Amino acid sequence: MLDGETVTKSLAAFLGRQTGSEVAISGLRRYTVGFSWITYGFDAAWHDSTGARHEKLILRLGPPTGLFAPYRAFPQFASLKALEGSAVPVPRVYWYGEELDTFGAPFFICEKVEGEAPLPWVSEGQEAFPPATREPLAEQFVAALAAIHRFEWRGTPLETLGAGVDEASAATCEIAFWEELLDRWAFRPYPMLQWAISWLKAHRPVAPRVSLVHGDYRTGNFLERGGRITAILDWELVHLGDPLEDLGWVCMRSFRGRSPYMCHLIERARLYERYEALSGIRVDPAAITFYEAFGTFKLAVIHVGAARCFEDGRFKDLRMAALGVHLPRLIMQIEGTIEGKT
Amino acid sequence: MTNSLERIFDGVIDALQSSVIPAIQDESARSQAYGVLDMLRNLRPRVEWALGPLQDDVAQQLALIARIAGLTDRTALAPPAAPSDTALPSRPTAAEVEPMRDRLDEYLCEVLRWADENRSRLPAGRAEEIEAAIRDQQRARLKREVKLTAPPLFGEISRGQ
Repeated sequence: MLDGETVTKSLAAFLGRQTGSEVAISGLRRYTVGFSWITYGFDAAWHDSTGARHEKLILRLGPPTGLFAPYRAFPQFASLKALEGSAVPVPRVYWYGEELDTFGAPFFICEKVEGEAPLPWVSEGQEAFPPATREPLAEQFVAALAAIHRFEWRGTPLETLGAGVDEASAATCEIAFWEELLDRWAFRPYPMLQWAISWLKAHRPVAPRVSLVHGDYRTGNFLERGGRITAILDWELVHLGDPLEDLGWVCMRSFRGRSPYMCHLIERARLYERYEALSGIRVDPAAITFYEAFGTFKLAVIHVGAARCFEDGRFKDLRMAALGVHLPRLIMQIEGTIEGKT
Repeated sequence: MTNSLERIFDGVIDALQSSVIPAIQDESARSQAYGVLDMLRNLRPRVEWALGPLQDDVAQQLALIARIAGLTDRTALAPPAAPSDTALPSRPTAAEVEPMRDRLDEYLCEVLRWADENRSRLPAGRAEEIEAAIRDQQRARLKREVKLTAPPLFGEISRGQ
């Protein structure tokens, strides 16, 4: 992958072409968050017809050696662009490219939104948020999710994100997608995952509607500042499908431990109630159980992929191997979810 | 463990050498890190996965396969043929047992696919019985693995703090 100096030079050249001005890049910083796309923050200064411009920006790269490679920047860029100005807080996106000659990887550039990303992992028994912070955050968290699912994607470039997906096929398409990834990535057989695939195929629900689905909606993938969610991030797995898929993901044990609060934010019954009220979509508890099990399966496949990426030497990041170590726990959680033991 | 022992050693050594040690400013801490590196390079050729649990796995898989044969011997449908080459050397190494365990797991996956595809053609409840037997054996193994696994440091790994 590129070193910092090369990224800085490439940014100056790319932004120079886009703005028609000489662009000074400073303060390049690579963030440790995320296991797939590489994220850099930087400052860009240039002059245009309005005078001197100084912007804090983010560059995201989908590395050719990354977990889900080969990557495409379009789904994320198009989703963020489409949602600009909606009730979903998202960073403003400026440029994207699929070609490799600019940064050696598909990329997009967006504004740097102020805020911190609270992480979903806290010591067992500890609360991630005090109640005074948690409750307003929870309301915004559910409202943003409902707004994503209410968003009218038909007639926008987002139509291409799930060609042919309908209410009956949404779950089937997702199972097939992740089963294919498991086949591609696994370097040993996993009978329990094989059994989970059979169970998922036998219990797939019909979607209440086809929505824009974030695909990784949870604590850790939004920014917060002063009690306000300032941006929903990490749209890497965005697709068209069953909105309840995101809701099942929110409810997963992996993102709450033993906390009664889904994603450390909101109790299950309250989540369903607020989501139904804000989205107009009825919550079928059986479908949520299905999507919790499916989400845990998906997370297990991601862990297998991370281990594979590391085993092949495509990605040297030791965090990939560390993810693989925890695969047995996740596989047990799939069974536990199916049997109602989580 | 999901990754191979060789790759884990190589990866840890490489991370120390190329990422961690160059970033350590304190001389004393750096010399300790070199000590860790030296130890890892010397452990690498001397270490293999624990043999006992791998042998237990294979013994349990073979017992399970015998049980599956019992569950399917009077059905009109024949299950996938069980692996015949299951003999191990009298004093096997982990490197010899591990591929055997994986071959037997692959067979169990085949049986699961077969039971699922033929659920309605098998005697009532038989597919579920086969699935339950395989899940019991796999769950016991997963529980052992989880017991051996240290609590995750996902927060620290994500934040780098």
